[in-house]
Amino acid sequence: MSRFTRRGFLQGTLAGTAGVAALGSTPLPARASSSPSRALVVVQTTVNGKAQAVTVGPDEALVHTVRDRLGLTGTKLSCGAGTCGACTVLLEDAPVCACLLPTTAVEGRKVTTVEGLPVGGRLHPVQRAFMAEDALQCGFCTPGFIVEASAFHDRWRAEQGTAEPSREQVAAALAGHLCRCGAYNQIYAAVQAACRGEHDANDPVSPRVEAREKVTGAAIYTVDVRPDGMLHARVLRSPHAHARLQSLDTGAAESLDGVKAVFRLVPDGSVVRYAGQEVVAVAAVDEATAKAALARIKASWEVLPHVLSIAEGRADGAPVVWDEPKAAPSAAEGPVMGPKLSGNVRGPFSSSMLGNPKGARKRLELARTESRTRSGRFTTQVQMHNALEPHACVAWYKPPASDLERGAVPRASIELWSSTQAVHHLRHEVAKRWKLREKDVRVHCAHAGGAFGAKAVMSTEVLVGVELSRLAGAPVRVVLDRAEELAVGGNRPGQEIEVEIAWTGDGQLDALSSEAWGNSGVAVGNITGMMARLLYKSDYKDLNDYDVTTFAPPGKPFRGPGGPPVIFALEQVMDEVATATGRDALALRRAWDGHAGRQRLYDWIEGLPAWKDRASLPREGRYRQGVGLACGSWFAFTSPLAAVELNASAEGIEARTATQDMGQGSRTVVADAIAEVLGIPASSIQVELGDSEDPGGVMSGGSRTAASIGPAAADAARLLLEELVERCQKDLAWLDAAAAPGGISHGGTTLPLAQVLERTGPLTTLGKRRRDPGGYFLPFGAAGIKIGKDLGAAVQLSHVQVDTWTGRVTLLGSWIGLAVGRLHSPILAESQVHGGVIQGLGYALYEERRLDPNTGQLLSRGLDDYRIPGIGDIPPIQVRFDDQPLDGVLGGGIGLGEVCTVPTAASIANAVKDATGWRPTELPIRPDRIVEALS
Amino acid sequence: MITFPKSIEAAASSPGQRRAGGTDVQELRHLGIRSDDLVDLRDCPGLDRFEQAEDGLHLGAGISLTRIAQDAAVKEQYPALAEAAGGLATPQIRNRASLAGSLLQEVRCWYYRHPDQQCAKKGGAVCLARQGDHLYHSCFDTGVCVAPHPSTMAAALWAYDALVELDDASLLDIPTLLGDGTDPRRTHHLAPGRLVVAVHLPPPPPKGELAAYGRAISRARAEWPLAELVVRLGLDKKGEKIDWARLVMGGVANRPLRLSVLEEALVGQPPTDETFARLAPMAIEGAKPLPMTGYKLRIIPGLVREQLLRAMEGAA
Repeated sequence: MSRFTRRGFLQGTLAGTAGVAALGSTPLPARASSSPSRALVVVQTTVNGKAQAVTVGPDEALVHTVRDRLGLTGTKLSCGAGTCGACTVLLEDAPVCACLLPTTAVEGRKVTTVEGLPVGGRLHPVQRAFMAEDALQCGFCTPGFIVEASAFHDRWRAEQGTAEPSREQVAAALAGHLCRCGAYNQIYAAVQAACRGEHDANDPVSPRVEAREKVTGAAIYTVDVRPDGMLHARVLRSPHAHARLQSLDTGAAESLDGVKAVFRLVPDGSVVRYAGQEVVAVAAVDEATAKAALARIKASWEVLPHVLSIAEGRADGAPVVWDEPKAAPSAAEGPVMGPKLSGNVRGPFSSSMLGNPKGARKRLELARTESRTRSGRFTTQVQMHNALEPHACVAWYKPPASDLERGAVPRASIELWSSTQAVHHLRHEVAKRWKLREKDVRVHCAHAGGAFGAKAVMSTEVLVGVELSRLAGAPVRVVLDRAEELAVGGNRPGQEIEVEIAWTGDGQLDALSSEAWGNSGVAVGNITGMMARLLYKSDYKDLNDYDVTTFAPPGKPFRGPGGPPVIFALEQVMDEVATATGRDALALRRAWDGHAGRQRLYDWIEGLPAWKDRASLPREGRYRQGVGLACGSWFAFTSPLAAVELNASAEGIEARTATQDMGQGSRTVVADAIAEVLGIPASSIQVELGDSEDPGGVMSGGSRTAASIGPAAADAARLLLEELVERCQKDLAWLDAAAAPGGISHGGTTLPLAQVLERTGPLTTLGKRRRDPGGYFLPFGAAGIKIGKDLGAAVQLSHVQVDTWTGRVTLLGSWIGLAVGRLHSPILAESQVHGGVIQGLGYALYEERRLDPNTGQLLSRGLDDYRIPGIGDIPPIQVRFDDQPLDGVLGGGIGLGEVCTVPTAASIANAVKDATGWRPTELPIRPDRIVEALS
Repeated sequence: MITFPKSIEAAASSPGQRRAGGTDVQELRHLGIRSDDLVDLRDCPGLDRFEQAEDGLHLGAGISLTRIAQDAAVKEQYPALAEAAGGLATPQIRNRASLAGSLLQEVRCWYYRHPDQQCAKKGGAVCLARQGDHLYHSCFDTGVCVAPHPSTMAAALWAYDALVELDDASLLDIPTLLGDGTDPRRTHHLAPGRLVVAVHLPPPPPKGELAAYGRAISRARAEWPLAELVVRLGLDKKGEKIDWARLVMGGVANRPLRLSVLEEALVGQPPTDETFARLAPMAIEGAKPLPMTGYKLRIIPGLVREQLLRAMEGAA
């Protein structure tokens, strides 16, 4: 997918506002730096047992002191408002949020960060338990959870010995922490195991190969990168949804001591199209100076009328977002297909190309007259990706060397640390934008603190970072704060979807239609009908998608993009059809579903007590319970770009590939695949990811990573064995040499790899992803991606309780079955499925972007108001994997990161209907909606 | 500028923003909503009292909410206060937030806390929430600003008739401290130059009480309330009739509301679910919801009934 000619975010949004780089951008002359006069306070404290004296401003928060002054970057800054808990440290023995703790408060007191938890080099039992239970994914929230859980554990053990705390007790202790990846059930398990005393003695082997780095705070994320001489950037953003910039005066900012560069993104006279759009950026010696500089910039605006909703955008005479239709950026995971934007409306884009839309319309019309249809109209909210590591980069533009040899071509280069889903593709985009050779650009991302689709293509922080670095001649750090991340970091567009289903006289699927209107803000690319196509077999489908552009930040692909919204609609109408045709929800799906894997999963659902005993649930009185079923499908994407280099020597085995780990477990997939072939422990393999210079280049998106890099890693390992055997036979004259588990067999014994390699010398192999035996859905593979013939399938049963007094919906349990073939790294696969379900739970019940209708500014700009699930909201989740491998796919399995979040909201909605008799047609299913509906 | 006064007199007379735990002050400063000089109470003695006095319990202004939530004497004598202190915010915030800071914190309104929005509380002409998105705002219209009063502790302390002790030894009751809500710029009415030094709780009722605190929220924990309620009940000797009742509600108006009409109606009634269900709707008398907050009127009676029942669980 990476080489599709696509209208990426920058080309659209920014280039659309005019030639960016040519603007009045200002490198500033070097100037003696003197700190602005501030009241400074000397604070004497003890951090991790070491006496420290720091001189800080009165407002400095401890999180900055420990990270920036003491270099203890294990403590993470994420929400900045005491809500997410990522920055939790111990003040004496009490967990506190370091983002809200003035450093002056630690005078004479003891502070412990995650780095200070091990005693004498021995990990805290809670750190071990998190490793053992896979209680982390991206790892960004992990240090905060661990610090809090360690305090809880120590107190608990002192008072309760090795008794096990209940889930409720653990939830109460960890209520001040948020995990976006959804590792909550594993966190429950870890804290309980540590409290039972199971991790007092030894460090466990974690199923996740980098777990130790993450539980100790040693893992370096983009926000932790600090090259010497690094400057800090802040960005002035438009306060208006739609306005023309009349003038911008940056003079006072430029003259502020410590300001090193100013970069304008919007020229005078041009238009901004959403509140939060980048206007001008400043690089300075520290963040406080950059922030102070922004306050000195004067912008004058001509405010223009805006529209925010689908209805407003479609109205006659509505202000038009794009005069030039091609300027609209893509909100889709792939290129924008289909019709052009006309006014604010684009569409219909039909996903019915393989079906018979005209026939479908006729059949629906007839069925309607015979009362053989059910339909519904549904509205979904805007959901934010909200990874706990925000969009972040450190950009270093290195000008051509001045002392070139005669005849050498002067070339600039760019080194970039970026929180990204695609180190390789980002290198390509950066090279293209700054007209460099790809080999002159290097992108690093050792660990990404979550992404979920929002970090797939180059976004504005990279533009700002590189341009400021070019101007200032120094590396520049650009990190969005939480309000910025929620405003422009990315979102799943809101939709209005109408679905109609007709059945035949004998109860088979007759025809299906969907009409989806998506509001991707200034972007276009709503693809939802495609997802409605995948589930049930019929030649008669009429599926149409429309975009309405509005003056709001652009949507981006978000885990399963159009899937969760359209399945929310489709699967609720399916339940209505079941009722109308006198079948239960499972029987109807069995009858209409052609997916063999899901048919096997229906057997499993049918045997679950939650399904079998559903009739006995309370459906009257205050608390009403119900169960709901929903299905989902996703494509089998793989990337032929996958390549893994294996360096084997007597010192050990190292694997390298230019992909990245955003918490889904790429490192482990590589290690496990190699370990399996070589017959050695995965933990003995060093996996290096996140460097664009390495071979391969799989983007993490579309659920392609594991199924791409796993087979490539296995290939590298097989090549290693082949070559090793050959060397043994040729160089060592071990004619009987053969591969054996853990080494090479020779003379009746197996010699471990290290011993063999000592004799043969080091070896390097390059594994690739070969062609899949089963072929592809499309004969050609667009570069970067191939679409397999299989479909990933999910079915989910959710059990909810509705409190009719206060309107709260609680998920009491969820069972999700997946048919994705053989699993790469099964334990991590299960963790990822939990994450998909938990993000689906947030989508169903809590998460919702709120924009001020009058200004278009973001109101839900912190994690108090943008509500993601907390640990107390998470029930036990049971995951069932269909055990049939997919023989047509190398490695036997396909991706699962998206299919596992597709059915969740729909299953919860169906369960709410089952509990209350009321069908939720709007997301999220908030308390106000429940009490109004049931009154 | 920052000062660290070493006495209550110095702290009270220093102009600027007082900072104790910093949990709200720091956020407001990060947002640029406050930027005045800081009077940091770190070194100020006398704010950490925890005294059982003849006239009740004296809690220093600087003690943490965690301590209030976990203290055995508070749990025993002022159960709803302990439950409220332990039921708000998150463990880390409660570990750091001070009692007085909790009373004097600013509203959570997303217009007030938006750096680019100039609402009435920040000196603007109108309440922007009123004419904008007020899904989580008030349903009792008690003044220009429709942001719910943020202080759970204020509701709980009012329910216990607590008095706030100032640096000049004067005592204020909670309604006086908070004002009537008509001035949008004031979330409390502490006079400039005055400092809260302690909170006095009157002695517990001799015959004990049944009490509960709870909030209606969308998730399980750690969320600002759609509505919250402190309930205290005293029963007659046989436990058959309600002798007295105290109900203070938060999250629904720009100050906590004491539900006096409901309190009176409860007196003399049997403490049964039938009574609670029948009388709970009185809690919304006088409500005047905004276009988007009518739902709160449906939640409040359920919350009242729930907390009355929870209070009665203590009688079992």
